[in-house]
Amino acid sequence: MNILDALVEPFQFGFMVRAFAGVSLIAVLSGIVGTFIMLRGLAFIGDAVAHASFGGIVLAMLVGIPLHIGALVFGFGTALLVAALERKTKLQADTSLAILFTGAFSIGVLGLATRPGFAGDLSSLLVGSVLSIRPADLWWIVAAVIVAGLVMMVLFRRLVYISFDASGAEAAGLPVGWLHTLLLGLVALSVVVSLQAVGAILVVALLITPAATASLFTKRMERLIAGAIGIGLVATWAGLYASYYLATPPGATIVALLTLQFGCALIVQKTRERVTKKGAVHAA
Amino acid sequence: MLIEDFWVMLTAGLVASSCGFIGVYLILRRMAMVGDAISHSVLLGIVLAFLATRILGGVWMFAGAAVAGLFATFLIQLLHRGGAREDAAIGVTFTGLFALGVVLLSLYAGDVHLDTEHVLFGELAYVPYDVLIWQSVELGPRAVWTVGAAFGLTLLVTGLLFKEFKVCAFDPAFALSLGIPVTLLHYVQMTLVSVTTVAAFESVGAVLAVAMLIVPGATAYLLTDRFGWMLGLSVVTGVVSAWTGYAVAVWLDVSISGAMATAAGAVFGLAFLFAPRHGVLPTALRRRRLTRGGTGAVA
Repeated sequence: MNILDALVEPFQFGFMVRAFAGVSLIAVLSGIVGTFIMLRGLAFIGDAVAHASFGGIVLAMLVGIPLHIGALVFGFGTALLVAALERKTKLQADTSLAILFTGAFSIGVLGLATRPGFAGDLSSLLVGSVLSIRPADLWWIVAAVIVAGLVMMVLFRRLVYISFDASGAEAAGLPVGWLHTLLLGLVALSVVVSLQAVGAILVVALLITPAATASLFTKRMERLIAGAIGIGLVATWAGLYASYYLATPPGATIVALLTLQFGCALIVQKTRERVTKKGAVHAA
Repeated sequence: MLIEDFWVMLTAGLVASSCGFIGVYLILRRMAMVGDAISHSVLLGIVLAFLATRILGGVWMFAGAAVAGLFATFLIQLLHRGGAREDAAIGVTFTGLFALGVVLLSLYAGDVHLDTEHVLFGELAYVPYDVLIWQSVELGPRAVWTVGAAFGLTLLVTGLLFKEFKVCAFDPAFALSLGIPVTLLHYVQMTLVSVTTVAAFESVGAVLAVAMLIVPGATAYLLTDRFGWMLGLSVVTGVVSAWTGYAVAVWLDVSISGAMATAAGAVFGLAFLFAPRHGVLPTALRRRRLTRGGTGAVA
């Protein structure tokens, strides 16, 4: 078997084709939304939304409504409550987050206990099951990409403004509160659709690690987003191939590769910094 | 009350006390999510310890998990110093370590039943049946000894370094100017957090260990402005939530750790609404009384 055969082989299975399509779209979505998450310091919110939507998924299962809806309601609700709790009490944002998401998560654990048969689906929710993406899930992802794309086309400059200088934007008359809520909505949406790929525990990596890696090399917004998308695409594709041939869980493999990219980029960046510093000293 | 109930309640109480105690420091130092990061990273330590020794459970696995937790805080500090935002540093670190743990597990220990669900949720109900035996004497459940030892260590170290920890929690810059080794103390404290989390999550699981670390401390934070009171109240609310949760779980036949965390959340909700000085309702009442009493002065 030559290398081309090896690269093509996975595509003979429908589920692998759907998996590749799914992770590619998710990588694009996370590249866009993740850059904003990283710039605004919302990484914890992404994590909290992911854990909280687990509670929403369990309740949706029990009630019998589409799981994505339950996840979205719980996820977005948590993001909004965090903002409210932060305003109303003297608690730090990350403390409020931890309280809310463990609360929503424990509701999920309790709900699960009432139906013993669910335990099997549970681990797939937590570690993800990109190989079992159904066509309907793909449509959710496509819809999320379209929504994020439209929002960015219309409001990109404003969102960038509030991300870098919220008080300046406020003074310039932008509805900062609404734009922030919109951004939280996008975070919730992309977390919920990406849950399928890597699961509740690792989803935050898909959002912030590519953006964090890209931010080591550039400070320009357009390049950050493009870089994050590229980095995400490389890791998700390589991760899917690796998991196909090594029989490892795809979600964890993808995140391990993302982290590896970040580690390598960090070392490259630090070495370059040191070299330029030395060069500067010699020149002086 | 059956002896099994007693052991479960004792374990739950110890978990709540040790988590509630160290959690106060996490909240004051604004490190709530570090607890989350540690509790996820320990999976890698468990897997590595298992691959090295091929023994499930025991001292080595405990040590591996604790070291992995400490390693996570080290990495976070490193990335943060290197210029990453703190939340990004934490997110990258714990997801990376957790993912590595999952991948290694599937590559090298696929045949072993290292139950991820158990790691994530824990199971208090099985605590009484895993008994520690020393020279054919039954010493009670292993979990009671592990969590008890972790709590004892935390109390001992915190007792010895009480003033230093307190200064570092409130004003690290001042502590540094006094000549206190702030970084060293940071790692000592993170070791304690790591050991506490590992001991706790055997019984309540990784995600809900975070609840027991943060929620009672946050409740106490709303109830008082005095440090000593906060420590005490955090432990008390933790234990009350744990026991209430256990009673509810037995009554409704649901997951014990889930019910404990929900109870802790409910107690926090009460404090959020009714805490004398910082609660939402008393604050609103005071404001109303003020505007009514001295219309001219306040408006």
